[in-house]
Amino acid sequence: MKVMVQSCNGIEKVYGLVAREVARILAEKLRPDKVTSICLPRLMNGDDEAKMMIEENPCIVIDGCANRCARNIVEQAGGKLVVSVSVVDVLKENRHLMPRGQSLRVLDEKGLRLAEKIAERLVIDVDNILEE
Amino acid sequence: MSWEAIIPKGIGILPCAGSTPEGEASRLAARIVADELCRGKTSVLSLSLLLCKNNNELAFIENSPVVVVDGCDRKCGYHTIEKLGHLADEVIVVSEIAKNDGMENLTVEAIDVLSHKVAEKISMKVDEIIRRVAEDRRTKPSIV
Repeated sequence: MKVMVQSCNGIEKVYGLVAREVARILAEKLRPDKVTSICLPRLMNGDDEAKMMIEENPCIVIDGCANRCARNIVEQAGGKLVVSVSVVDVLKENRHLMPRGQSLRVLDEKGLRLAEKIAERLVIDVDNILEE
Repeated sequence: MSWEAIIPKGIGILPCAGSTPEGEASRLAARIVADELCRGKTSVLSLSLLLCKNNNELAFIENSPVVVVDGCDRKCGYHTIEKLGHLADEVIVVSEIAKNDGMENLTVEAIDVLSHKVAEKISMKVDEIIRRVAEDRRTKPSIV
């Protein structure tokens, strides 16, 4: 079993960029053998392999903004949603880490620190889920 | 009449929302187009918002031309627009561009190079659409 980490892939706001960076840190740095993800559009377009993965594995969702697209898509696809976090909500408690939205291609220092902070919080959830 | 009067919101760029390197290249390319190459002529749309049937994104694809920039040959963006009852005006598939250029190992640096190549292609498609829109307006209506 692996933990699915599904992040927002929006590019209209900087929060989506943070969400993707969190997923990348979890999947590539912190728990590369325990975390995986699939493309959200594949879920909505009836891809059998994607649907099976999301139905069989516990899922952590990282949304960028209040639209919560990733969460909505995972829920509509019948995913086993265990943890759901939104970057804007975390920012409310960490206003000093507000990333600048000047470039929506590269995160600034604050954005990277915010992503690391969220990833460090979520890695505990990943370990707890796999221990249960 | 200028193209801005016909399509006031400009042309929508709909990148992939996948977690693959090709998806990332498509998103970066869309931003390069909207922020630099075709600034003021284009808007970046969100495939995730469209999948969630967001009213703003739905209104945009109903009223304005769209260039779909799919990451791979699954063409999720193209199929999503189709399911919503519309047709994309142009479709670009990033994995095909990477394959044609012999780019197999998509490292962070390679994604950056690829995204600029894709952005150039999107920019050409945007200009083609604007030309078509302008030409359509010049066409004389047929007299019955």
